[in-house]
Amino acid sequence: MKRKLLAVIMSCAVLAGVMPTGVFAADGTAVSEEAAAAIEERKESGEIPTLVVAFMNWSGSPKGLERVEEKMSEYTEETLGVRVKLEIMDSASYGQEMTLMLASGEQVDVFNTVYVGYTSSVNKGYCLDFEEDDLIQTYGAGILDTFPEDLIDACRVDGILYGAPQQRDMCVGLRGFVIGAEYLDGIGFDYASMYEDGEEFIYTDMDTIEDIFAQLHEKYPDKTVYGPQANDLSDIFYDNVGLDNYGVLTDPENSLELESLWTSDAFREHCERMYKWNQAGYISKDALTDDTIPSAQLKAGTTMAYMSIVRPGSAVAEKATTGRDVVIFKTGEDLMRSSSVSKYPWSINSMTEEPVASMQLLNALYTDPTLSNLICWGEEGVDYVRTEDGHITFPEGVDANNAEYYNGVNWLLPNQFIADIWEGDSFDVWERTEAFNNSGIRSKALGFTFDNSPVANEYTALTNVFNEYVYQLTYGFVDPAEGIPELEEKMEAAGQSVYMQAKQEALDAWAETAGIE
Amino acid sequence: MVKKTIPSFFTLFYTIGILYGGKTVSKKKTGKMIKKCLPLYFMALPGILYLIINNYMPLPGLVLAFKKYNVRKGIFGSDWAGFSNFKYLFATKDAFVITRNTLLYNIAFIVINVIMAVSVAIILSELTSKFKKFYQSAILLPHLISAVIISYLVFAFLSTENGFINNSILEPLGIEPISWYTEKKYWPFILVFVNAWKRIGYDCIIYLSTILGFDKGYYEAASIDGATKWQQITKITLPMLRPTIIMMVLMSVGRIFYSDFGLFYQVPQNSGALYSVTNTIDTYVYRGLLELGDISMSAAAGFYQSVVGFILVLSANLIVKKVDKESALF
Amino acid sequence: MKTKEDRKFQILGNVIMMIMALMAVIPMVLLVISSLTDNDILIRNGYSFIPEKWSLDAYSYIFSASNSAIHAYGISIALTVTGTILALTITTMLAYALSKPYLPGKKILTFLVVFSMLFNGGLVPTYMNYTNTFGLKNSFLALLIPNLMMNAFNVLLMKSYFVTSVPEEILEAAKIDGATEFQTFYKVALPLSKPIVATIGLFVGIAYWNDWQNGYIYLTRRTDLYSIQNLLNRMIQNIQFLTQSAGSSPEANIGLSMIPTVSVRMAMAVVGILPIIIIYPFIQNSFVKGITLGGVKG
Repeated sequence: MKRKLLAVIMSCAVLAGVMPTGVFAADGTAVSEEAAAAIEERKESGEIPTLVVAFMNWSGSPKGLERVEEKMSEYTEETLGVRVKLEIMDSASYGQEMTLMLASGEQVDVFNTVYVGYTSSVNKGYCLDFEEDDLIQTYGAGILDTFPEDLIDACRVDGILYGAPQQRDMCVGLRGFVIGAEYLDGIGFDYASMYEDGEEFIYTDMDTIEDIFAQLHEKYPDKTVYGPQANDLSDIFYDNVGLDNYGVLTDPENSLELESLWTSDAFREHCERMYKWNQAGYISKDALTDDTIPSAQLKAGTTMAYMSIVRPGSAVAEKATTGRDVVIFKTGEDLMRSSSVSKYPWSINSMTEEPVASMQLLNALYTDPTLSNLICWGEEGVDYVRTEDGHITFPEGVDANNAEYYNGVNWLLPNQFIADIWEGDSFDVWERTEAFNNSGIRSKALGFTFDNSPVANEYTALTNVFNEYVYQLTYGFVDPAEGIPELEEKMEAAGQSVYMQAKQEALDAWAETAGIE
Repeated sequence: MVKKTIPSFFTLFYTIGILYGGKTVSKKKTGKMIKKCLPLYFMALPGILYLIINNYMPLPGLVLAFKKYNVRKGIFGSDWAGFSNFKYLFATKDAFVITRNTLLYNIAFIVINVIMAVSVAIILSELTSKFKKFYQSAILLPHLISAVIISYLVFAFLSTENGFINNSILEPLGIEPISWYTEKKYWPFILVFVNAWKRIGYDCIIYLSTILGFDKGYYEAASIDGATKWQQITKITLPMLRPTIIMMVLMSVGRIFYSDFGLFYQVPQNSGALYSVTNTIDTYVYRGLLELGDISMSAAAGFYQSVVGFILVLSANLIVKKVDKESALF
Repeated sequence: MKTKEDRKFQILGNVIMMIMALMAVIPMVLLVISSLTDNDILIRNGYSFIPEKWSLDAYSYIFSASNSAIHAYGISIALTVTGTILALTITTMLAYALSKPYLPGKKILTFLVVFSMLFNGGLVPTYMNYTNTFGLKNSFLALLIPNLMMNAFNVLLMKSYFVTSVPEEILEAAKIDGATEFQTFYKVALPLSKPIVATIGLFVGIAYWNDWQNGYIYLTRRTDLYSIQNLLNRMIQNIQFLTQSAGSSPEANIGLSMIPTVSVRMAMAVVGILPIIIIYPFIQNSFVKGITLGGVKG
């Protein structure tokens, strides 16, 4: 009751155009009076609620989970009047586990929608409306301040805000080729001189790459030149509106008309090139069935190059993964796809018993550097220590293998930009990321999400066709001259036109409400 | 769910039991019998209790297959969706392929595995060699490893570049290497072989332990009468094994629309080129729903498989009853 | 009486079994060898019986202090032993009761058992049942109880055995001597059923040992309750999953490099099978004993 009353008062205040000011949170950001009051109320009542925050990492519940949880709870009890319970699950089981937890009504308050699906979570009723009773305006103002309005709007579904994005690279640098430095040295390729001032990558074109590959193949005949992988598809210039490949935007900057990806020039070009490379012997005969990823193959010395999307910090990251010196060539554009912002927003469970507290906790994760550090990096002194120049790194005796809290998913967490910077990354990496985000080609459909449940049957059939035919083409095992028409035919038979039409209608409707032409 | 389960199921089963069971004994006799069998009921209690908790309490959830699930309304409050959740299983071209694959493979599996498991069990029961224990332990090993590891081992043999078969058998013979994972025609044989390899050790244990329980007297009498080994096997062992074989087959029939997910998904390394011969109902549902995460649709698939299996088992059981009353399941 | 026919049969039988045994064992040998192969060589050359470079890295990784493999072993053992004992208890008792033709309501009960095998409520209702109604999540019971403790298949197998191989006369004889139903069961029927009890025990034991699904679904925080197979399967699922995501998120790449490698997966598989291979010969003895005790003079 009290909360509802507060909400009413607060709404009136906002309507009256009064800016609630004068109260400050522990991190120094301004906080509304109502928000501060809610915190005080919880602390005084003596019943501190425990909120469950769920997200995923790569290897499952970390050893130091309870310890970090405790440290967080100590802090949040003081600053927010809540305690925190973390549910961190490994990526493969996260989707299924979260679905089970959400569907069965188990306590989850704040969660990330990766692998669960943002749109499908909204459609199943799992997500709370952020603007109900002006929840986010009163208790989550910090979130609204963190992002420009169009990025917040990108997370709307049917006009209602159910989630908030996170601070990370939203653009993708297309068709970056990662090549082992030693092999380039072997063919005498002078890459050092090709770098422009201070750049991480070498900007070049596909002809140069093919030239390099031909030389590599000649020099190292028993190594694989190029290792393809499933997501090479995302290196092609198109926008997978609605987060699937059935009906895409081939000219995302200018047009909202959907086309079939399989008949597009970009796809054909890619497949033809792959076919050429496969025929020339650059690609391993086992590529379709071997599940070792190219970066691991590069590390083992089996493969010499692979494709990867690039962004600021990639050079350091790829070197860390492959354990070798690599050179990154960038041949494509920077693209911000329509789905890139709303890929995996943070949401609040619609069944939560503490909507206000949850929103405040979420807000703090975006604005409070101490809290962000806790969730991103763990406990200072135990999970990380400060270096002389202001970076942070592992303490003595701790490394990536035995660390008790080292998730590697900061790009998923609300705000890594305000947390400390790990050794190896430059201090300006986040500025450069923001600049990167702003400079890329923005898709017109930014923010569009597609509820495909009316065409779920077609989707299932299309997915089966996709799995059966697409990789054979994109890995160059089938001649596109025959393979693409066959693929298109099968997709049509599986109902692609029906699916595309449904999507186009949804897209047009969204464009109208969003006021886009 | 707890409240709804018990009364409704009691009624359901009492009715089915009466319909199926036929005549009932007079009340007085039954009452006395029940008293006499009280200790037996107590013995059966933990098992039945477990069945209720594990199998019957979640059962009403099957209704999910017919609903459009909304977590706020809960399972029973959600709106009805009729048969729309089932459409995706039938509306596509793939529907025929996956049903055909599932059925044909399972039939092949049942036939081949029974023949081989029974044969091996008979051989093992007759062997006197010291190696008997070794044989039996060895053939059980494949059953113990998980599908993913099996898929790696198969890959070791069938890999186009490094595989054992291509490198160490075909090449020396001068035959062109085969790209196993894109050639459809070999896979029905490969999968039947791998399935048999995996299951024989396990299945034959059942037959073996039954055979070991047979009265040795029959065999002694027969060999005194001059019967050959082959005659003894066909006239004594097989007939006595019949109830067990029938029971095993009936139970497999009940699961005929299910498939071993690991076998059909992992072993072909999820290779798209092979889908038309390796896609089964289970893998199709998994692939389609992985991204959708639609609970109702996967519940519909499970319901479909269960219903078909149920009908088939009931029919098969009725047929068996006509032929050999003792061997029927119920 | 060793006739010529007998000898032919023995030779043929041995040859057949030897071939089958080898077909089963050779891939295992390959498994063990690849677990001892240097990982990079494994990726480069594939699996082979004579690797270029041997390495114990995989095993040292598994058994290193920060790794939970040894602890997982303990969990697996505890789970298997407890589970098997409980499962055998309730299964045999139920099967025994159902094997009595004079039991009123036998048809209904048997139908109850069989029906449970044919219809399943599905994952979500089962999960809701155990998590919400019974509160088992993240506990040892969640590994023990769901699905594994008893299934219709085992009950029917055992019932069939009691009916065909444990004659009513012997049981009657015991009762005339003054034994209660339970004593008859325990002291007479069970010893006569050693083969089937060993068989079902083996099946249940293997099922518990190999199960990873219960742990996968119900254990989200209690990593200290992971069994060996759960650990292995999580690792493999993660690898497969990440492989599919690797291209679009460079982060996935880093994630993958944090997860152990091919040779480790092989090593974990070996580690997972080892105890069963060691224990099985002992269980086999029960089969042998069954032969000598199983006879009842007509």
